[in-house]
Amino acid sequence: MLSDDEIKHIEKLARIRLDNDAREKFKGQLSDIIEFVRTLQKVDTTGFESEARKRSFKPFLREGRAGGELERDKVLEQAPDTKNGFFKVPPVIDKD
Amino acid sequence: MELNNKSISELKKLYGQNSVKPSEVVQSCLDAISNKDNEIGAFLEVMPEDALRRARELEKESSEERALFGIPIAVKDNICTIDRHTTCASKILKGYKPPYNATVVERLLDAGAIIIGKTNMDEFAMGSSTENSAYQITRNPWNMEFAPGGSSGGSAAAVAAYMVPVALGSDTGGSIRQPASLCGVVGLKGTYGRVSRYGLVAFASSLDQIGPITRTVEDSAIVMNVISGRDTFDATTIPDKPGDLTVGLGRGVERLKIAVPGDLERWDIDEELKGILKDTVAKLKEAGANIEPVKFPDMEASIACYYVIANAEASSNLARYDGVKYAFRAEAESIGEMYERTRGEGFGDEVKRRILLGTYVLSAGYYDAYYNKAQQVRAMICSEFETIFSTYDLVMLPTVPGPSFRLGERIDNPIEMYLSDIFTTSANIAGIPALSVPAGFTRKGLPLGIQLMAGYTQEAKLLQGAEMLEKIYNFNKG
Amino acid sequence: MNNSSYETVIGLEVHAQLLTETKIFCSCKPEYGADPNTRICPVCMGLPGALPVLNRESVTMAIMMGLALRCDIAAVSEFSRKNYFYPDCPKNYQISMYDKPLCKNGFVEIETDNGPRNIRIERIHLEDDAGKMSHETGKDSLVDFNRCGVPLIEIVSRPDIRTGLEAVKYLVRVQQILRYLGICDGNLEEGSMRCDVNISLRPAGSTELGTKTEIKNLNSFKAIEKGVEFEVERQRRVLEEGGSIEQVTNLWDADSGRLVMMRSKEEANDYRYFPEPDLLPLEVDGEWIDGVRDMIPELPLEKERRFREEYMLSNYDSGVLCAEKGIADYFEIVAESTGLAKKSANWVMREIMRALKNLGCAIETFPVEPEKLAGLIALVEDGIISGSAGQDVFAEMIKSGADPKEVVKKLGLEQISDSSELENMVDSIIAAHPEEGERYREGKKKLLGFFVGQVMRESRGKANPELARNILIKKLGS
Repeated sequence: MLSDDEIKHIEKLARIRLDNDAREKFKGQLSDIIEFVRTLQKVDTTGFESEARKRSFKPFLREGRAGGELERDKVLEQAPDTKNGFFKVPPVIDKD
Repeated sequence: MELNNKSISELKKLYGQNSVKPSEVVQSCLDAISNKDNEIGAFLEVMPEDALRRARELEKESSEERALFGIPIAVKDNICTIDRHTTCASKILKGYKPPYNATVVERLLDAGAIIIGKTNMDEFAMGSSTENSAYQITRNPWNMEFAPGGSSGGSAAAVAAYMVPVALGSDTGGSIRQPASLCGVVGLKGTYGRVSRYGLVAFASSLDQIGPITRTVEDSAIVMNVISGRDTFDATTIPDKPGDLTVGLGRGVERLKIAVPGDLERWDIDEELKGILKDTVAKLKEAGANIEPVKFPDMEASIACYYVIANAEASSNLARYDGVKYAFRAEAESIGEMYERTRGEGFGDEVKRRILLGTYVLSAGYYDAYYNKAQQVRAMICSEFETIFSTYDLVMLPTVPGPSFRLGERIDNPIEMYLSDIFTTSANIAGIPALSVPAGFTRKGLPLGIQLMAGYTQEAKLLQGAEMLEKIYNFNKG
Repeated sequence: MNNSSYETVIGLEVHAQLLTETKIFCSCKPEYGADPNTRICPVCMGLPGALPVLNRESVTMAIMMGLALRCDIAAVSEFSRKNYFYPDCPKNYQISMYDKPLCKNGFVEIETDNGPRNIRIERIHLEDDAGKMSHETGKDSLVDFNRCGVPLIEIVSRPDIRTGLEAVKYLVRVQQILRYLGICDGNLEEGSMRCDVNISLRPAGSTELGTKTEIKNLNSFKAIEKGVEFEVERQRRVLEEGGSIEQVTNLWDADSGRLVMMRSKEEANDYRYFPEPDLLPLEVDGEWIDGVRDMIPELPLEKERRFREEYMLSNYDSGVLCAEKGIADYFEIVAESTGLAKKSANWVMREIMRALKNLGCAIETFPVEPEKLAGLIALVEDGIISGSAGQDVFAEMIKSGADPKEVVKKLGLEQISDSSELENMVDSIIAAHPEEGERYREGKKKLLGFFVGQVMRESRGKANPELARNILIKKLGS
């Protein structure tokens, strides 16, 4: 079972805040799911490396050809808040 | 003439004879939508003006040769349509209008198709019932009390209810095939890399594929021909074209080697579905196919592997929804608070659960035990499928263990909901093509589906086999 | 305890922006100083559905640096996602190479008081840059995403550096090499080259590493030297007082000349790295590497060696001349056409460098081409003009870019080396100064200088002083 501290740590990493009720509910559900996926550890994968996933073609790369920039107004009109052509966000508080 | 009931191939014939016009077809579909969709709820947005304008433009051109000339199509709401809402059925993308079209949308338009609307889905494609939409419920057209499946439930319902001949869905662990099975339509997921993901809002990048949901196998091949092929905007697309996927149609199954998992009785499969499966085996043998039981990759391991990899990738893919650049932002005094509140209020429960799970399996101290182990299991499953397809042309099994379930029945039990993907996830894990064909109905009138899988890049064979099944089930409800 | 009881251990991480035509994963053209948010597209903005595709040129440039620093180039390398939330990072993950970097195990040679020494390079890898933020204390922050997706290479040294001065020497070398290769403009102030320093102290003679701290935001060589000294002193004091060092990240505040703590170990991020599923592993074959090898010019260290051997220049001279490739090339053309290496070196190091500084221009746009400077040096060496006239001619050449011979003619600066003309001049000067002539003959030989001066004045500096002197000696008698 996930502890309160564990789930709070994950919330922090994921930047998702749960209220207490949701945390209680999720704690149980997540623990069940983790229990379920833990069955993987019983699978014998000797001889199989994680990177051995099949890739049957040679990857391709982009050749440098400039272009495709978006018009700024088109991008900014989707933004919740802007100022002088910038995206505006609440203060990034420095931790001293 | 009810044009909305016509398949793509039928419409192509009518266009070829100049007996209908695109605007008439579009209007017929729009009428069907206004008659039925209030109740079904397949569409998040319908674009009547856009669709009719484009239909009339097409009428001025004499470009009937284009593969999808005048064909109305619905698009799942996680596929970007320029200047038109693309929300993934999430509150966090409410009002968002992308400044570009997905590659598949460009290809459909180039082929002469007409986009008629955006379909409902589980939020960010996470779910198997479409109940995780932040906006509305979608009902199964065969029984309004039942779920259409998911996550492409809106697309499957729209096609099943004759509102459009075709809709695009996306399949990460079964999200095309499962709702296709539950709604009695054909759903195809191609080989990973067959269809460009550029403009498909990512759930799990190494598993996601866009594919068509149609009423016939032939239509599936026609649409797949248009949307597949390398895209210079998606580095994971396969370089070579699959060739014309309709060529195998009508060839039958003579001498095809078809494998059936030997341990299906382990699973709680619906009795009527078992009967259909048995009957199908007999009929395929009559038609000349060679059918044998095989040891199938461990389905439980496959689904656990799927939940680790898909959610790990999702936790990263969905990090960008933070209130900075577009759509929903919860007001806050500091950036940290804005992140936590925007994401806390903007995402629904299932999405949060999966992001948290994905974050957990990637976090320090757990990576090897979960993510890395899952990748090893994935490599093993790939190799096991390779072995199977070195002997067999196709694998046949149910798409889902049973028919649809009542709305609300499974919503609070994530694990039970996850297990409805038991037969579908392995194709995503291995990156192989798979499709669901309607196989008949339960006595209560709910559709059942049979699934075929084929080897890497073998879509043509897959469709060839599917067409035979279609004939066997004689499922022609035009 | 005295100072020598601790050894300082320094490792450097250098980020260099590559001068590619487009960004690393999209087709936007990077431009420093462009209007905010005008150099962005769905890919570098990380809009929903957009996917990265790796740019070939950025890989070529990274391989170049790898070869220049004698690294092994990996046949297969891989991008991973580094997950962290910050508003300047639109996807909230950075795409960076993690456990499979492109280049490994190289070195950079620097000069120290104890002779040359190799600073080992652990790795060089590719990644995408973040955007830029401007903060006002207590107020909202503003974000410009133009810099997002500009290709960076990160060059990570082993902890082989012992002093702030060595750190600077290493960085100067790295900067020179980047500029020689033409892959980065190496501007610390504008941030096209950035440096993070890791510092720890350990008891002299110990081989174990102490707890390290990191300094970021060092945007000049002076800041780096000072920041390192400051932190070394601080750590020494803590250790001498019996304390222990905490693992922290500090920012250098150039205004106050102090370090400001950014985050402690407890706040250290859990980046949850995992392989980037949108990109396939990067394969680099021998052919590609050989092609890149052919593009690498002679590097500063080899050039310095060659200058010492070929032109018999001192360590100092060759070091100054080779600091910039353009200057070294310029010098070589001058030296080759005059055949006078040391004289050419002096001209370049004094006159040219002073002029470049005054004009604030680069050697590439300097108005006096090397061939013309060679012509000027020849005029002085052949005695056509005097050394001081040479300065005047040079000044004029900078203004007009004209050929030195034309300038000499225009200014009438040719030396009078015609003895009959000079003899007449000398005769009249001796006649005009009988008293001085008398005293000279009486033994005041110093007065010869007076007479030479008179000749120079009479000829307005054009008389060949050597010739005038000989004629005067002859005519004045003894």
